[in-house]
Amino acid sequence: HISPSERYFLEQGVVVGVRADGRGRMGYRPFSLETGLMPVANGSARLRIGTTDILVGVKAELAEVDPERPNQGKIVCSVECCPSASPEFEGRGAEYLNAELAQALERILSPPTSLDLTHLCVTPGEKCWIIYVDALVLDSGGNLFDALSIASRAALHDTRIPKIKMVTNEKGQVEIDLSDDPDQFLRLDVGPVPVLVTLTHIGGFHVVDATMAEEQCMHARVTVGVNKAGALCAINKGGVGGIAAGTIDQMLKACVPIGLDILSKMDTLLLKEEQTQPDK
Amino acid sequence: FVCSNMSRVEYLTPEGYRLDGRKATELRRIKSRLGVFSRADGSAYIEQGNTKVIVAVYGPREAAIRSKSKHDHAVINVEFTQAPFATGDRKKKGKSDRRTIEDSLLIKQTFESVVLTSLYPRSQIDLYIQILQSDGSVLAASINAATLALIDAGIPMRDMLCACTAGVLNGTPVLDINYIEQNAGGPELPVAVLPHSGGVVLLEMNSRVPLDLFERLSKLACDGAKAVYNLLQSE
Repeated sequence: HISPSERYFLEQGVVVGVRADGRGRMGYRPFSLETGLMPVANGSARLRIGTTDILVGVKAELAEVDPERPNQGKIVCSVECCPSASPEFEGRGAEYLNAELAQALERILSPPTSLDLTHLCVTPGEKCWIIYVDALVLDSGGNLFDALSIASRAALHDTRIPKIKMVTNEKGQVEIDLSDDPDQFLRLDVGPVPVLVTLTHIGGFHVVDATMAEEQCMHARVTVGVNKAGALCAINKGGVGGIAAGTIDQMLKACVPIGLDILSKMDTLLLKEEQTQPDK
Repeated sequence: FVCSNMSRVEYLTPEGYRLDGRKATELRRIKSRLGVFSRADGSAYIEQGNTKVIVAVYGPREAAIRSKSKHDHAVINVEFTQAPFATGDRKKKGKSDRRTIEDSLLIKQTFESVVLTSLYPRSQIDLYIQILQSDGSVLAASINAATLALIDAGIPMRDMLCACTAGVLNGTPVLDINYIEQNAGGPELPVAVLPHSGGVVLLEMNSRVPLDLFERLSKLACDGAKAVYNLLQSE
C-alpha cells in the first residue's frame, strides 16, 4: 500500500517529531461526534476523526438472565468493517479484524468495572435487558480502536430504554407493563466507562492517533483503556514487533493524560448535544 | 407473553390519508448526498422518509478473481448488507443469508443492463450497499442510491435508473410503502425504470394479485419511479 520511500518519510517524520499532517507525536486529530441519528435504535452515535467514520447503534431487548449473574443485564458488542471502507473488507475479508475490534470493545464495556448493569435487571433471576452495541466502520482513516471506543461510549450515553414492569394479570399470565409516560427512560451512566488510547510504535518512538499510512509503518502498538479516574482498565499489545519492557512502561504512562483529555472533550460535546436537543 | 388485542389498523382512511399522513400516491421526502466516503471511487447517501441507505462504488478496477472476469465487458459485483440496528428488532443478518444473496443478484442484474460494461473488459465494478435504517422500500432506495453512487464515480450508464415500490392498502394502490404498510400483508411491487425511455428494468412481486389490479399497480409504480427521477434531478 505504501512505497519504501513513503515509509522512510513517515518514519523520519516521527523521529524528528513532525508527522506527515503536521502534528506532533502526541497530537490527536480533532473529532466530531453526533448522537441520536438513528431513531429506530435505542441509542446511536456517529464519530468522524480524519477520514475514519464510525456509526454505532445500540438496541435493547428482553432476555433471560445469566444464571451466574441473576441481578444484572447483559451487553454484547459486534463490529462490522464495511466494504465501503476498503474493498478488502468484502465478504469474509474483515472477519478477523471484526473479531479483534469487538473483543477490545467488550473488554472495556463489560461490568463490573465499567458499566453498571444492575439497573437493567427487570425481574431478578428471570428477565433482564440485553444491550447490543453494533458498530459499523463506514470509512477508515486509521485508529479504529480509539474511534470505536469513543463512538460506543457516546452511543451508550444516548441510549434510552423504556421503563417497564412485569405484572401478572387476572389470568395468571405475566405481561409487560409499559410506563405510560413517553419521557420516562432508563439511561446508562457512562461516567466510569473507559476509552481506548492506542500508541503506535514507529521508528523507535511512539505516536498517538495513527493514520492509515502510519499504521502501515508500525512496528507494534499498545492499546490501553483509560477511565475518568486516570486508571488503566485494559491493555492489549498488537503488531508483530517486540517492545522493551521499559518502553511499555513509558507508553502506559503517556496514555493516561491523552485518555483523560479525550474523555473531557467527549463529555463536553455530549453535554452540549444534550442541551440542544432536550426531547427526542 | 400475552399482547392485548390490537384494533384493526386503518391503513388508509376514507379521506385518503395513510398512517404517516400521506395520500395514496404521495412519495416520501427524499434527501441525498454524493461523495460521502474518502476512499471509494464514488459514493452516495439517500434518505427516503426513514429508510437510510449508503452505497460505495469501487471501480472499474482489475478483476480480483480472474476466473470471474469476462473478456469483453466488466462484471458488476454487489454486496448488499443491513445494519443490525436497522429494523425495530435487532437482526444480525449474515452475508450468506439467502434473501440477501437474492437481493444482491437482483441489483447486479439490474445494473448490468444499464451500465456500459462493454467499455471496461476484464474489469470489475463493486457496489457495496449498506442499509442503515429500514422503513420499507429498501430495494428501491438501494437502487436509487446506487445510481447516484455510480454517477459520483463517473461510470457511464445508458440512463439514470430510478426505482419505487408500490403496494395495495385497503384495496387501493399506494406508492412508496413504509415498514408498517409492508407488513400489512398486501402485495409489494418494487419497480426500477429508465426514465427517458420508460423501459422497465426490474420488476418483482411475491404475492397473488388479479391482473387488472396488477396493471394499475405497475403503472403507478412506474409513474412513481419517474417522479423519483425528477426529484433526484432537481437535487
